[in-house]
Parts: sequence; C-alpha cells; structure tokens
Amino acid sequence: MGETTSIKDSNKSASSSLFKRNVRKFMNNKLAVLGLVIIVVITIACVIGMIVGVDYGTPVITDMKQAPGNGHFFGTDTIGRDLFARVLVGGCYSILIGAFCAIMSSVIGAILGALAGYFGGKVDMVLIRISEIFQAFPQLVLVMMLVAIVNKRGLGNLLFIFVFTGWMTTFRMVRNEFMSLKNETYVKVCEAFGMKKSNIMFKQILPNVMSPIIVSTTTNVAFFILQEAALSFIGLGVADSTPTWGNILNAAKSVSVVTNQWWIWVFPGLAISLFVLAINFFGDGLRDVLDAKQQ
Amino acid sequence: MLKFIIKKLLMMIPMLLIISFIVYYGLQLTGIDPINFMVSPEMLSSNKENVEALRESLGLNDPLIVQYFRWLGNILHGDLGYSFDGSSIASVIAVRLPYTFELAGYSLLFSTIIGIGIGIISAVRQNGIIDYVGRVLAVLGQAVPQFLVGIILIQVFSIKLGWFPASNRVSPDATSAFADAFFHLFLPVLTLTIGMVAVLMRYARNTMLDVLNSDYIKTARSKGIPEWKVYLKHGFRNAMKPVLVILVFRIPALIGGSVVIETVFSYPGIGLTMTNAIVSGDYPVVLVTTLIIAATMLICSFMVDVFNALLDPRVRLGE
Amino acid sequence: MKKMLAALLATTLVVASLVGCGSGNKETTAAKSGETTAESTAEAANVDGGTLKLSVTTGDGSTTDDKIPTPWYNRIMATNLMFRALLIADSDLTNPEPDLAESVEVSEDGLVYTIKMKEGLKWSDGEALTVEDVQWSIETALKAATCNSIYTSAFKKIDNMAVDGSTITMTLTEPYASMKDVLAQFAILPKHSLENADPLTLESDAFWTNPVCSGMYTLDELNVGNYFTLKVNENYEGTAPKIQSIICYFVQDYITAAQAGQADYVFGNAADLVEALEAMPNYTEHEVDVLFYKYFLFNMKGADGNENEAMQNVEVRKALIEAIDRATLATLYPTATVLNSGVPNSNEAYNGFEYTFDAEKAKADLVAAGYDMSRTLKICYYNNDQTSIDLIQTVVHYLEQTGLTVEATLSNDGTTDLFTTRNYDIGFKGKSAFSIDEWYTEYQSSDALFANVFGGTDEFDELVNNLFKATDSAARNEALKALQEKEQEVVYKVPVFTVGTYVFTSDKVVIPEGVTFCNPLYMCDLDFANWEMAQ
Repeated sequence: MGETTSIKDSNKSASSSLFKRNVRKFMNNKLAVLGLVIIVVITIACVIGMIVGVDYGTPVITDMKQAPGNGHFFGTDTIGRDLFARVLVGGCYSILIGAFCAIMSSVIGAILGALAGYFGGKVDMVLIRISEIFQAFPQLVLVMMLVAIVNKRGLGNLLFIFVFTGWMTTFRMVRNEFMSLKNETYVKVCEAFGMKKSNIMFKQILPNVMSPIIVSTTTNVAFFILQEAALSFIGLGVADSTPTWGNILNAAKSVSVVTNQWWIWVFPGLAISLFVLAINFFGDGLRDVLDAKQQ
Repeated sequence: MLKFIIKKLLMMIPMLLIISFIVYYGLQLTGIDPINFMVSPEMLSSNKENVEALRESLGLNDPLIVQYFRWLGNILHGDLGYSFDGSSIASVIAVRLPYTFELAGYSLLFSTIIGIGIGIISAVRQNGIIDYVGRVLAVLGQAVPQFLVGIILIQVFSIKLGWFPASNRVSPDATSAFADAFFHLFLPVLTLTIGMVAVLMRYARNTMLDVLNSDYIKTARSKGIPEWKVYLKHGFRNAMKPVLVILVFRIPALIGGSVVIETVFSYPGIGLTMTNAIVSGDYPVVLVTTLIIAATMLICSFMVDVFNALLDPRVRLGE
Repeated sequence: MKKMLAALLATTLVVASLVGCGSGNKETTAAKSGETTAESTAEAANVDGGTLKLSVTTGDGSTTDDKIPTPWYNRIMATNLMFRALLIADSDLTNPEPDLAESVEVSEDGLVYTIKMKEGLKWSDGEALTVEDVQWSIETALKAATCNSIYTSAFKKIDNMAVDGSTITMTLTEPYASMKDVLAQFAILPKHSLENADPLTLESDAFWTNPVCSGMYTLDELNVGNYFTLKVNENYEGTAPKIQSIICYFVQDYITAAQAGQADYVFGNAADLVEALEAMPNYTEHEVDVLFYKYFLFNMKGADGNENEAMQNVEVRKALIEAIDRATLATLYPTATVLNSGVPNSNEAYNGFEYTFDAEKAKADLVAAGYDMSRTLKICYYNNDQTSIDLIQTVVHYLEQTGLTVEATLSNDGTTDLFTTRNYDIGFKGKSAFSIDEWYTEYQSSDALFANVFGGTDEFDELVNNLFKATDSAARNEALKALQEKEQEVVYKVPVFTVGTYVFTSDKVVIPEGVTFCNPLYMCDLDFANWEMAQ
C-alpha cells in the first residue's frame, strides 16, 4: 500500500508541473486567453444581473421601441422592456442551457462510450445502434412531441431534448479511445490484479480520455446555445416569459424590427455571437494544450 | 468488403422500423386527434354518431400497434397517405424533396470547394492574407446564428440592393431555368455555405499542416520535386482522406441547417414542409418527413462507415 | 493575432452598418431599385397591359402552398378575381348589386327570395353556369367542413329551394335581414367539376390545383410551393380587365414580399406590417373600415356540461377584466379602438357601459369573490405574430400585478385548443367580422363552436333572433341594446378592441378614381376591370 501512495504522490507532483506547463502554454495563446476573459466577463455580468434582480419583465408600453440611451443602455423592446436587463437575464438562461446540456451529454456520452468501448461485442453493437437511431432523429420533431405531450414550452423540455439527442459525438469518441486503450499493458495489468471492471473503466482508462472530452464539452456549450436560438426562431424554443438570447433575438423575425429597430436584434445577436466566438477561441486554446496528438 | 456493405445496409432496416415506431407512438401520445382536422368543430359536437362512424371507418379505434402496421404497410405499398388538409403526401414530397436536395447539394459542393481551397491555401501560406481573412470569416460564420445570417443577407442583397429574390424557388417571369435556379438558390446556398465552411476549412488546414510537416513530404522536398507538385500530389492527396469523412459527417448539420434556412427564405423544400406541419400539428406529414430525414441520416452514417472501412482496413477486421 | 481581431471587428462593423443604421442611405437605394423595376414593368406594359403581383402567406399554417385557397372560408384578392357571387357588395359589404344574378327579389315578409340568373353565363371551361350550380353550392356549403360561419348560419334558415329555368326560389323559415349581403360574399362553385367531391374535404380536392372559374380571371399556371398565375377568363361576360396577367406568390410574410417587390397589394393590421409599409415611399396606404375584434373569452362550461370551476363566479370574470388596461394595450396596434360590447362605442346603438381599468379594485374584488390566488390562471392564444405575442405578455404582466400566477400558452391549433381541449381559463381570439351580427351569433346555443365554452346556454337565443329579424334601424338598435345589456351582465366574452386594417398598394398599379377598399377578407366592388399597371 505504501508504495502505491508514493507513486500517487509522484504522479501528483508530475501532474502539477504538467499543469503549470499547460497553463503557461495556454497563456501564450492570446486568442484563447481573450476568449476565456470574454466568457468570464459575460457570465459574471449575467449572474450579477440575475442576483441584483434587474427588471426584465415589466412592460412599459409608453416606452416601447426606445433607442439606446435615456436610462436604457440597450434601448427597449417592442413592449418597452429594458433590453439590457433582458440580455443579462437571458444570458443566464442561455449559458445555463449551454453548460448544462454540454456537461450532461458529455457525462452520458462518456459513460456509454466507456461501456461500449471496454466491453465491445454485443454491448458495443447495441449501443452503437442506439446512438445511430438517436442521431437520425430530427430534433425538431422530438421537441414538438414533447411540447405537445407535456403541453408546455418550458426550459425543462429543451434541456431534456438537447441532452437526449446530444450525447452521440462524445459517445463515439470515447468508445473509439477505449477500444484502443483497453489493449494497453496497464489495463491488462489491472485486470490481472482482479481490479473491479468499473474501477478500471472509470478510474484507470477514463482519465486518459479526459482531454478530448473536456475540449468537446467546451465547444458543445457554444453549439447548444446556437441550437437554442435556432429552435426559438422556428417557434419551438422556451416560452417567452423565460428570456433567453434565442427568444430575445426572435424579434428579428419581424422585418420591421430588423430595418427600423436595430438595437432589438443587434444586442442579443452580438451577445450570442461574441459568447460563441469566445468559446470557440477558448476551445481551440484548450485543444492545443490538452490534445496530446498536437504536441 | 461487399459482405461488410451488405451487412451494414441490412442493419438500416430494423433501425428505420424502430425510428418510425417511436415517432408514431410519440405522435399518438401528443393526443392530436386527426378527426379534429377532418371535421369542423361544429360537426364534432352536433353530429356525434357520424363522427364516431367516421372514426371507426378510418380505423382510429384499433389498437395502436394495428394502426402502426397498417400505416407501415401502406408506406411499403408506396401510399404515403394524406396530410390533414387533404393533399397527397407523395405529391407534396415529390415536388419538395428535389428542391431540398438541390439546396443541400449545392451547399455541400460549394462549402467543400471553398472550405478545402481556403484551408489548403492557408496551410501553405500560413499567416498570409488569405489565411487571416479565411479564418476570420470561418470564425464569424460559426459564431453568428445561421438564421440571422440569412435575414441579414436578405436585407442587404434582396431588399437594399435588389440583386436576388427574397423567397421561393421558381418565378414565373424567369428568362431561363438556369438563371431562375441561380438567382433563387444563391442566397440560401450562401447562408448554408457560410455556416459549413468553417469546420471544413479548419479541418483541411490542420490535416494539411500535419501532412506538410510529415517525414515523407520532407523527403519529397529533399528530392527536389517542385514545390507545387509536393503540395498537390503528396500533400493534397493525403490530406483529403480524413476531410472526406468529415464531409459526410456534416450532412446531418446541413439538414438541420436547411430546415431553418428554408423557413427564412420561404424556400419550398422538405424542411419548410416539416416546420409548417409541426407548427400546425399535421402529423401524417411530420411522420413521413421524419422518416425521410432519418433515412438520409442513416445513409450518411452508413457512408461514413464505408469510407472509414475503405481508408482503414482495421475497421473491417474489427467488425 | 491583432490583424485577425481587427479584421473581425471590421467585418462586424460593415455588416452592422449595411443592415442597421443609415436610414437616409436606405431610402435612396430603395427608390433606385423601385425605379428600375418600374421601368421594366413599364416596358412589359406596352406589350400586354402588364402584370399585377400579389402574395399569399403560408407562414401561419392556415393555407398551404400547393393549391388555390378555397373562397368559402376567407375571400382574398386572388380568389375574388376567380370566383364570383350572385351579387356584389359595396365597400361597406352592404347594398349589393347584381353580379351573376340578374335580379334578386325579396317578398314583403322577407321569407321568399326569387333569384333570376343572367342569361348565357359560362364557366372558364365553357360549360354553362346555371341555377343548378347555385343550388348545389348552397346545399354543399351546409355540409362542408371548411366554410365560413356567415354562410352556414344564413343558409340554415333556408327551408327549401325550387329551381325553374333560370330562376331559383328560396323560402326561409324566418326572415334573415342580411341574407342578400351574405349572398354577395358566397362564391358559386361549378357543380359539374365538384359534385363527386366529398364536402368534408372539398377544400383539398384536386379541383383546386386546376379550378374552373367564373370571374374575370382564370388559373394559368400553378407552380406548387412557389406561385400561381392568372390569365383573363375568355368566358367572362363583363368588361374585360386591362391588366392581362396576375402573379400570386406563396410567401412566408408580407413585409419581405413587399420589400422585395413581390406584392403590389398587401393588407394587414399588425403594428410591424403597417410600420414597415408606411416607411416605404412606393406604397399608398388605404385605411379600411372593418370590424376586426380582438377579444377575451372565458372558458365556462363544455357542451358536455363540464364546468370550469374557477371561472364560474361572474365577479371573478369582471375583476380579471378590470385588471387589464385595455387603453394602453391599444397603443400596440397602429389603430385600435377600445369597445365594451360587440357594438363599437361610436355606433348609435352603443349602450354606454364601460369596463374601467382599476388594478387596486381588481385586487380587492378578486379577494372579495373568494378567488384562490395560489391557483395558476391559464391564458390560451393562437396568433403568432409579434404584436399578438407582445399583447399577451403585457396582459400576463397586468394580471400578475394583482398577485395572480399566470401562464400563457401559444397554441398551435387555436380551434382545437380553445373548443376541444379547453385547458385554459381565458382565451384570446381575433375575429374579422362581416357585421356586428356575427359577434352575437357566437352566443347562440346553436353555435356548435362556442357552445363548447359557453355551455350551450340558450339565454341569448331569442335576443339574437330579434336582431336577425330586425329590418328597420329602430328595431335593430333596440335588439342590439338588449344584447349588450345581456352580455355585460354575464361576461362570457369581452372585447379588447377592434383593430384598424390597412390596405397598401404599390405605385406600380394605378387604381381608378372612387375605389374604396373593403375588409380584405371579404369581397366588394373594386372596379378591378379598370385597374392598370403604371406606364
């Protein structure tokens, strides 16, 4: 036992120096750092807005369609709600959607991928088929069915659908990694020692696959935020009483808003684009640092 | 290899069955009653016996599984059924599917040419102007929601400048079929291309860089083979293999994108039909369009498998 | 890296400036593109009288783009030009003049209508248009699934029809004052092409991909999903129109169609449409006098007797209306006039009652009425245009101010959700009414649609019948007053306002002097034969 601890310790110090090196490498990638800064700033601003309780819901019809200025930093929307407040609170929900779905779908994808890759054979075949079925489903139809079944266009629906239909890419990736890793010597050694299969899968092999999972989770946050916006545009997004960047941007459906009240769509549009851009930069940076193949 | 392909193809049949059953069952769960669409609400409450008779004659009182297999049987006989507003779904699909294939096909073609082209040029001339401009456009194309890109393009090119029409696919006063297609397809194809080009470009650039830094390229260079020949013959060919796989992987995203883009451009394709059917709860149409999309997706993933097997024999052995 | 950022910033700025700002710049370019198109149409005009461009929206799911929409539901410009009625109304949708009919005589007691058809009328396919077609159309409309209720409620009064040569005699069970006005809307369809079609699915019969017409124009070409074109009907017996062809595009929304030059005639009442078209210098605005009601209805009781417990107390219903500031809501629309019953405040029959906005009183009244404030109040609406969504959100806000928990659902299928599923307390609806009468027919126990939410109560039946029978204005006003008293007492439905509708015509079309537009979902005499494309 004593020996294993010392190996762990040395592992720890090795990994901490690796961590330092990675941080240095990341800091050298200015775009990635900029991305991280933007992500942090926008997220903090949104969360503060939410906590302070900015008024995003009170319509003041006499003030509708006000251009930016006059106490409304981003102007007001078509029924006179403050757009700045809406973009902040909407940001909370959009980021929540993005982060929650990305993390959950990665977790599910990783677990199923580990099972499929490690056990192979029948398990693998069944899981692969299931993943292909899910991939073939048009998301729209699923959303529509769920909206009709629970009779509500809630946030929960969207989270569920996104996770439900979003785990396949991670699944494929993890499965392929497991396929090749399970034949490595250290896995064979662990098996020979009679270690529990779940331990081997999740404590021994999985840490080696974490890097690509982290990278793809990051970029998936952006993907889900854009996806939410697209669903809102078709009219299947979250009900309007819960603002998200997507349903604020929905105002761009109205041609007269697009031509006459640029601020109603430009600000939420900028928020989405900037955030997605930042995540992509950040994800690229992470990939450079974490992806062993690139080193 | 042939055995592998046949096995994969046969596998698609049970999967399509499962998908169709899930959608059929799910749509039943939504509680949409076809009768409400066929009979006016006045009739519904004033003429209960007739409505019940109609329900019976349509087989709506049968167990779900019976209804499902009846529907499936009809599909296999080529009878796709009727939408709630009474049009034959087969004829709806016959017009719209080719439009969508056109849209998706051109987008795939142009995004491939442009994506791979810029990707290679930026790999060869790293940090040159094309590299920067290409990367900027790619990054933007990925970050701005696709429908917003579409709306902006309509505003600029069809309304402000009046160069392209803002909707439909065919216009009655076109000078030639080609001009008609060109003008109507330009903006939607451009929108989809902008969204797709980014991934391809990055991928092509990265693989090209990998290949260019590899040993055999260095060897080729050292042999004194002209630079362009090195790029084209050795670099391009080797870089293309993984890029091709990515290409097929993009098709699902392309289909998802075209659903949105068809709505933006009032483009009468399968995506618009499906969106309208979903919004109005017209579920016979939803069922058929879902099946079409699912089948397309399955064919794509089949093609990915085949490509992979062709490129990497180990995959075949593994199966 | 810096270069890349700079380039990013530059691109964003360019795009933003191209779309958003620079309105002055916009106008000049818009005018320019207008000029060029005008030139090209002018060229075409020299040859054949030019082409009028129309648009039909399919974005709301109410019409499909693979056939011609049926004229028995809404009457729109394109189908008005293809299908005629026995009579044709003026811009108030009253005082009809003969069209297919040569004369319509009404007996003294208002029970017998003698309709004499014009001689030698022909359908576009050359077949004779006869009284047989009229009789078949009226009988089929009563059986059709998709048919405007103004026809069914009028034709239900017909006891029997007798055909003799070119004359048709209709006998009613009781007088129906607006029968002639209804006949002036009702499109006669060809029996010989449709008699084998199932009335329940008549609107989707293959006929509508290649219809036989009676109007000035007939279908030239239908291109599914894209457009249909009309050409002059050679068998039309009246003055041949000056415009030789019409293109009708299937579009997702009218504003884009107008901006892209695909619609020379556009109508609507939503704020964004009116605002956008008013900003376009090449369109002329025509305000139309219509009764477009926007109203709340309370889900009271199903035809099966199932009551919605929470809404039974009339004081609760009154308090809910008190909580909503309708005058402020009206400012969401370009012109909206608040009213307090089916009768507009400006009408001489208006009884003077007013629902006033008082949030504090509403709060107190709700408590006094014993309403359970922890219960979620459900609102159901189905219009998905931005203005309607905005309106409902504001209503939700008003109701929340009184301490209620409110949930608003946008329904995909309004008719089913409002009248069959009924999972709501307050419904929000729109109705482009043919006349005030139509507002009150909804209260009748025989109205199978509304019987599902008002429980089929017969308390209005006699009052409504009095209105139908009233032939002179004094009797009519009296009947209307009695109806208003009744509806304000029971509060089953409450109008928010009527919204003004606008018709916009582009400068590519010249409309003859003296034409007044009517409610664009109905038909009236627009002197279309004399419309011309600009030279």
